Amino acid sequence: MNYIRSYFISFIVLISSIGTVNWFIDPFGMYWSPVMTGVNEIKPEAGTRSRISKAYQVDKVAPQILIVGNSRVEMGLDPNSKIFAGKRVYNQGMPGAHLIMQVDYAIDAIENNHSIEHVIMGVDFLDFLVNSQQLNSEHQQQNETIRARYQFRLSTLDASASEYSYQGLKEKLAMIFSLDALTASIQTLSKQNATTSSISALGFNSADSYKTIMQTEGIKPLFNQKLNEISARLNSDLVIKTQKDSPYSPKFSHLGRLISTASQHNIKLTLFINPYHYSYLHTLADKGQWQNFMLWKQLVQQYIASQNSSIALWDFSGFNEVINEAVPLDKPKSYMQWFWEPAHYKRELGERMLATLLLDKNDIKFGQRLTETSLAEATNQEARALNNTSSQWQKLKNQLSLAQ
Amino acid sequence: MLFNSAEFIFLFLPISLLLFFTAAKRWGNEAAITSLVACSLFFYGWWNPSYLLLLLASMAFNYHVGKRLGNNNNKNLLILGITVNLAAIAYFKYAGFIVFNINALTGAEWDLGNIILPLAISFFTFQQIAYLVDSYRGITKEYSFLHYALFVAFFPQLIAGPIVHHKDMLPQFSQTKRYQLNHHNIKIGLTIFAIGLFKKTVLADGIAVYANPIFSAADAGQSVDFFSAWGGTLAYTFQLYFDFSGYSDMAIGIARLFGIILPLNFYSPYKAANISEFWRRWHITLSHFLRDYLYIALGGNRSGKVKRYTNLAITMLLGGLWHGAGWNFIIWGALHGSYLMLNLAWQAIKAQYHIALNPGKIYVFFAWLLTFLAVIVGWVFFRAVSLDGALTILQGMLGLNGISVPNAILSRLGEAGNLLQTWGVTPSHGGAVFVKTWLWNITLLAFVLTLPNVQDLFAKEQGTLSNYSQVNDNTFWPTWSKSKTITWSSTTRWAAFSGACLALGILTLSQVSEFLYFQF
Repeated sequence: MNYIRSYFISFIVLISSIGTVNWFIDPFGMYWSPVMTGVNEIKPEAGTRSRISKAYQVDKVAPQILIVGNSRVEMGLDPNSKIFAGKRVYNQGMPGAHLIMQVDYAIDAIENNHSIEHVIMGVDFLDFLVNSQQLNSEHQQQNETIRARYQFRLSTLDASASEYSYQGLKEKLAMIFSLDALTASIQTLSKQNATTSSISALGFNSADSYKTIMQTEGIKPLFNQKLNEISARLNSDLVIKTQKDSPYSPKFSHLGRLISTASQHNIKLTLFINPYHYSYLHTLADKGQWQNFMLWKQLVQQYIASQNSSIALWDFSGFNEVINEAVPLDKPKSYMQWFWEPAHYKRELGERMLATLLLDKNDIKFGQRLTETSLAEATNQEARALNNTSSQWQKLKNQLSLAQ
Repeated sequence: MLFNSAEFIFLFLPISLLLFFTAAKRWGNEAAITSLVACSLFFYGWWNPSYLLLLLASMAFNYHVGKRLGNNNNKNLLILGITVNLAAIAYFKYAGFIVFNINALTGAEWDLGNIILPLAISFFTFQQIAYLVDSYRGITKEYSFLHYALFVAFFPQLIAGPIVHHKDMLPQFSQTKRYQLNHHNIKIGLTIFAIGLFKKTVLADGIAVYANPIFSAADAGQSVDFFSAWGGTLAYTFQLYFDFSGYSDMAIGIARLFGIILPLNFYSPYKAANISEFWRRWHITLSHFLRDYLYIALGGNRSGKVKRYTNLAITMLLGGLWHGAGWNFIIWGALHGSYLMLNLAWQAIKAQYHIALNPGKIYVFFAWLLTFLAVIVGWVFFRAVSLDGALTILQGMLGLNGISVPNAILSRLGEAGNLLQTWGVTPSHGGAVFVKTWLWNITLLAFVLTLPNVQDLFAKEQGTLSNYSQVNDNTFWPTWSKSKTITWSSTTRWAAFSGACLALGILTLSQVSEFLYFQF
């Protein structure tokens, strides 16, 4: 009997020790244990699980302002910005999250947190593109399947209360009692002195991993990777305007769900188009998507106006000195002022955007509010700017050895 | 129900054990067998209750045919019995494949709909074919359907083997001591189960994430470079071994909790230094089945060299087809048939020309390396879904798709990195995945070459029905003299070690995955 007793004691001791370590280190950023500098302050693994942690964390924070979007807003808009002036803010931006997921998470947060007064959402052109296949019912079913992977976390997504709480409990337990979590805890401990990305308790991604990449590899691979990735994504028959009886693709209806929910709860909704580095915009143009991009801006503006005319739509994607920032390829280990790479902007640029979005100051001179009138003007201006920056783009392409 | 699931470990297994021993104590051995059969049928039905009917029908048919064959060794009845079994497996497993090929050849558009492969059909069908042949030969007899049902459906071995023989199993259940709770068996069972669970969930599932994306990319038509192809193929090589051998260990451990000793299914196959040795050590119960009921039935090596080589080729081709209804499995079988024939020819040449090669360490190492490479190439066809996918991986392994090294590593290599680039090495992304892939591969290679297996650890305790003990003939086992000193004993250290294996295995339950052999 001694053997069997020792067997189970060893089992229980190891399970509880690992559970305690994982709870304390909290590698996935659930912030359920005290934060200690040098032990668990930096959470490099949290970024890979933010779709899990952000479904639960938002309820704990009970924010007054909710930031919604993908990794761009997660890295760009800091909930601790002074511009928020004492408001509780949660950044629910999630890397790679498609529009449906962003909206589902946001609606769930709104339904569960009556504290929310203002939702700020960054929208992206690529999220609205569809191909012909995506319009048929099969794709709708696929979307449902994708949704099923996270709907158990969101109590408002048809999941029964018991299923929601059971699955949620199971998921939270896995963040403590799992080998994954232990591996993540060890990595968390070993990287406390490293420069690496970490998700804060308010959902902000420090994006510090970019610094490490630039110190070791330089900025060139970062630009190469992102621009090639965008090119690859745009390699099919993607369109914006797809339905004969409606100018809007089915993607817009998800934006409509958020508008409607915000309206029902008297929540102020502010939408903005993320800034893109000029190399991103030129890649769109090279792939034949420039007309679609401009059409998309117009459709988003029209759609929002048709749903609720009081909702502001800001555009930060227009060419200007920020967007045209030079890539320091001659000093590859020095940082850019506003961008990490073509798609992701820095906190510093996020500050300027927040100033525009929240303070609406005229002297900011970054971004403009889109209206029917301003759009007509912007379309021509952007076309000219695209043309004017083409030699700059050609030079950059040569330096990056990108395909012509 | 999966062995690596919370419901199995924390509910089904303890309840089954409790029922079995309580029934035996209170109502006798037959009641205990009844409870075990009921638990086994529940275990099978958990997956898909409708296929329980198929299992029951198959058991009823084979029981009656076997009983008649035992009384009257009628060859026609044996042929009928085997034909019915093969027809069932042909319909469920191969009908789609056959129709696909007929359509491809004739341009027809036949459609059989979606035939779902019943769980474990290959295992319980082969087991029962062996029973029919053994009954016909007078090796075994069964008079009780309940006992027969236990032989077929005994849940530790039902889903993925080891393939057991009636003559090995039923006599064990006729011994009264099996029905009494035995601490020694519990200790051994718990320990072997924990080791198996660790192998399956921590090692096999741990490395699977580095194999799957590479094969998916190749099957999707993407190019796979040198290091990715090797990294992914090696990862699959270890995933498959630890998955299946871990499963077999779990089965052996669970059966031992009930006092039953199962046959050995794996005996360190990746230590083999020739391909015959590999097959003596890989999926041993299937190899024995194919040898005894197919190769020997075809004539074996009794009718001259040409017939012997032909029989070997047929056996391996059918062995390949047994694993799955697809051309890649047939190619895999053909490859191994060729390897075995080459090995036979080499042995014959050595004997004829009196070539005496010194079996020193270097010779053994290269013999092992050649064997291991041959096995790895075989696994490419085994794992890839399409022929093109397999060929893409092989091209990558030959360096025909270029060589890429993550930029993060090239940058850190400094001048050496620049030199590599001038030689044509291209930078890529994913430095962390690259490093983890190779760390896993190197660690698991060290494991399979140096550590003793469950059979060696428990040889003194009759861990399985095999008598193997630290056999190192025809193997590359660099740590043999040290490894053979490691054997299980009833000490606190072993208890703590195996309890820790169980804990680490349990900690992966939130990532429950299927066993690779479920669909065979």
